[in-house]
Amino acid sequence: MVQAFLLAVVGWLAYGGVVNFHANLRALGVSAGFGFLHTQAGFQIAQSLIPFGPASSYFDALVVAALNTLLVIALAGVLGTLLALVVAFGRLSPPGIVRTVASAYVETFRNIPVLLQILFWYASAIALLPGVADSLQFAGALLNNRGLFLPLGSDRPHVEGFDVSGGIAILPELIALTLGLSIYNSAFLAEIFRAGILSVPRGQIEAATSVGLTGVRAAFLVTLPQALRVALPAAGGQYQILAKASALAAAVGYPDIMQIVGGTIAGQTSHALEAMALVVMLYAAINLGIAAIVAFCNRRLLRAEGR
Amino acid sequence: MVGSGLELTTLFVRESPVAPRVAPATVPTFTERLRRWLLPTPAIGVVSMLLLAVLLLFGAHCLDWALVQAHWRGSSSTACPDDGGACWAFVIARWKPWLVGNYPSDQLWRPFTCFAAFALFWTWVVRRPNGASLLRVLQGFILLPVAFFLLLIGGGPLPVVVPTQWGGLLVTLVVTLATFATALPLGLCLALGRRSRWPVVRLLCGTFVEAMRAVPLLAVLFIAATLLPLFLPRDLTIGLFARAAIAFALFNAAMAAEVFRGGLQAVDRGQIEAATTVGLSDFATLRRVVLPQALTVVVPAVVNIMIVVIKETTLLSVIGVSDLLGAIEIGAKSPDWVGEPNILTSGYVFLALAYLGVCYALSRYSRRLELSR
Amino acid sequence: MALDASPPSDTNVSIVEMSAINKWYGSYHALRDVDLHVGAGERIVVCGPSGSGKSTLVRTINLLEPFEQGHLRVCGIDVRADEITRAARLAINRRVAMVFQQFNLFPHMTALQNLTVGPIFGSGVSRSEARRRALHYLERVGLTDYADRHPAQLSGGQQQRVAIARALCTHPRLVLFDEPTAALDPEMENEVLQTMETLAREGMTMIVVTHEMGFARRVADRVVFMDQGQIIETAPPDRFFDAPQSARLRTFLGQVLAH
Repeated sequence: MVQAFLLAVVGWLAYGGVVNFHANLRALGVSAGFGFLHTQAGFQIAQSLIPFGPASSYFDALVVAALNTLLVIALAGVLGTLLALVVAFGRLSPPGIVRTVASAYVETFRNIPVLLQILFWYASAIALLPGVADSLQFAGALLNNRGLFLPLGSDRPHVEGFDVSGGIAILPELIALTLGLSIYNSAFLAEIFRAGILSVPRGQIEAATSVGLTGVRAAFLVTLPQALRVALPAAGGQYQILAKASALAAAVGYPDIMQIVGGTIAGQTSHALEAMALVVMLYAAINLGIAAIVAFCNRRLLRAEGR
Repeated sequence: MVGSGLELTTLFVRESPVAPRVAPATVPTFTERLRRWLLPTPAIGVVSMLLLAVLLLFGAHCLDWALVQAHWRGSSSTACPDDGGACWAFVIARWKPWLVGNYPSDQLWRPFTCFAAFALFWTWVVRRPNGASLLRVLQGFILLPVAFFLLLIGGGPLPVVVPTQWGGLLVTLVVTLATFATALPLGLCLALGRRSRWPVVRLLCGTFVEAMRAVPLLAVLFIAATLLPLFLPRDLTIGLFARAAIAFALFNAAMAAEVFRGGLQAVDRGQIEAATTVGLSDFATLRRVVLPQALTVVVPAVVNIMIVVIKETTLLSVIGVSDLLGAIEIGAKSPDWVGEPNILTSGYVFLALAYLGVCYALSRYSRRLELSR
Repeated sequence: MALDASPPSDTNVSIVEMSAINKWYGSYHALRDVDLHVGAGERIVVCGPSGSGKSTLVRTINLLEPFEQGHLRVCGIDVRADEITRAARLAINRRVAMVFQQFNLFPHMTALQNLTVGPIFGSGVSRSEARRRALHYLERVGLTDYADRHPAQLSGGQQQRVAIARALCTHPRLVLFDEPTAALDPEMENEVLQTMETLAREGMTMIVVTHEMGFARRVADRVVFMDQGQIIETAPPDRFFDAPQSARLRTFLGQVLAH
């Protein structure tokens, strides 16, 4: 009975919201629906992994944004994991300079807000890098304040007037976002990995010693596989946090889901609701995807232990 | 020698027991301790030396930038003509926007009273004897934001200062406290709701929590900033500040719900069974037996939520509410200071140090709480 | 049937020589003036009340625990109290194997992999030879059919037998047993004890910490009684059990043999 009451309350609120929404939209003279996705977008996107031009539709923009988000999540995830492994081992080393530096790293980058870190990298990247005319050159690549330009096979980047053409462009926004996200997450991941390694019982190390395995070999063959199994759920949660933090791309203008769909599309068109709904659905899908991958890996690790 | 040794121990009876002796003193010499710290193993020693070299070089450069070449005085960008040194003049000259934003200068006693009150409260919280009531702390955390809000808004004898004029540390503090005050009770209700016997309640609470956990806070803030007005009746407007605060509260309520869920699950089933057998009703069991135990377990995690919320307040600057980060960015774009990117960087460094200090201190406190149980 | 690669039993070849070993845990004097010599082919059983230092003694032999005073010599490798190096620990553990109370099998590897990982990656044995050894010793402990099972799929007794096979795969000159049946249910103790007795009868040098007095009587060359960190009495089993000399041993046997 109480439940019916509750449902009624929620229903009434939702109904009221919908009524207001329609009234407001009518006053603004716009309509609702996802049909607008097939109309021409008419704006440019600075970085897209698929061809995108002024004639492309909003749906294409959606795809580009989603790919860009996945790209930054992948880059930051890989870089963050590598950093975290190094720092975790640093924290596990005997007391000394390495351990102190690793601990300072973790405490520093855990406690500074990630947005601040990203903005800092963005500000320094733009400020410190030279202009196009004075680009740094190494190994066929060009580095300037328009970004990092890598050669793609025989397609080498070269300066043309005020711009760079050829090669693959890596925007400074992407560089800043990747650096900020990976360093921030590596601080948390390092602690997760460390906890995993510490959770392996001492007897396992002793058994490894007693069959003649020591040091690096014992770590790789005995400790790490078991540490991984313990750390995986917590690490998965951290990767989900990383995925959500990638939305901060909107703060530096990197064309990801938040920036393009939540910012440009929601702002430009009068379909803000649909756009935000898409934003919510896309991030939820990414989160679920990560959770599914983690669950799959967890099952495989358990099966590898015969359970 | 071996042969005689074996005969010795083939048959052996100890005549008199060996008394325990004091362990030999193993005080390593200073050089030995230094060696062990610098070079525990050859491999680590090499890395240490490299690290030390990098740190010294980098550290020297940073100190040079931050102290030696820094510019401390001035009221405009002319004070910091180059990027060889930090522009602390920027930070110092704009202390008022950092602290209170655009709050009218003649009413500054109001935000400063709030700051002082909070400082006193927090000192009391940290130093209170362990027995002293957790309940009082919670009451304080709920009453303070309400009191601050009333004082800062004004009305009646005090001139009204709308939230759009608030900024800087004031906004960070108010939003953090308000979030804490609303998200915690709400989160507790959600956590209890997820354990409810009624499927509808479980479904509603569960859906809300999972939905909030699946999306970025920034998305929720965007929705609050741009979409929420569309769902309200035409004649009801809620200011941006209030909407942002609501978004913060709802989002973090979901986070708190997960923390409380862990705490509630940590209470042994046997406790509930025992309470039933001594005749306590469901509600009484909850209030007298389960909640007190659950709440003591989650206190360190709740402090962690506070740390997270403090860091999250930086997102307010993205939707246009001027918190500490927003104040810095607005300052760097103001006519007096626009120009050198180094000025903005100096502001960022100052902010980073501030957040680092506060959050680190809080995390140490949280760890102390964890260990003292 | 003799084992494959152990040296001929000759009690004149010294496997373990402990002289005046003293060990402290912080301020607690855990091992007091311990002297012990063990020759090749000898079967030693160490017993005593809990907390007497029996486990500490065997864990000191393969340097899992350091010691503060005294001199240790294992399979010809000298170790002084102030010189316990990683190299020494590695060298000793290549010649000495250990069977733990908690089995300590590697849960993410099959039984076969548990047996081969040490020889392949620790001693540099070829994969084919390591596999041959592993299958051989699995057969010796009667678990050939379980080669591809994981420890989680094995009973306690089976796990301990795999652990024994794992110890043997490194072709050790000495096997240390640290209360090998203490964590087993009574039904499974027997299978493990029988495996150990077979090993003993074939001349494997072993030091066994255990409460199983029947095993000691049947198998041991010498039984060592420890109490409060020191060796109180050492004797062949007949004398040890039927004619204990020291009062403490008499008390201990009275308590232990009562059930």
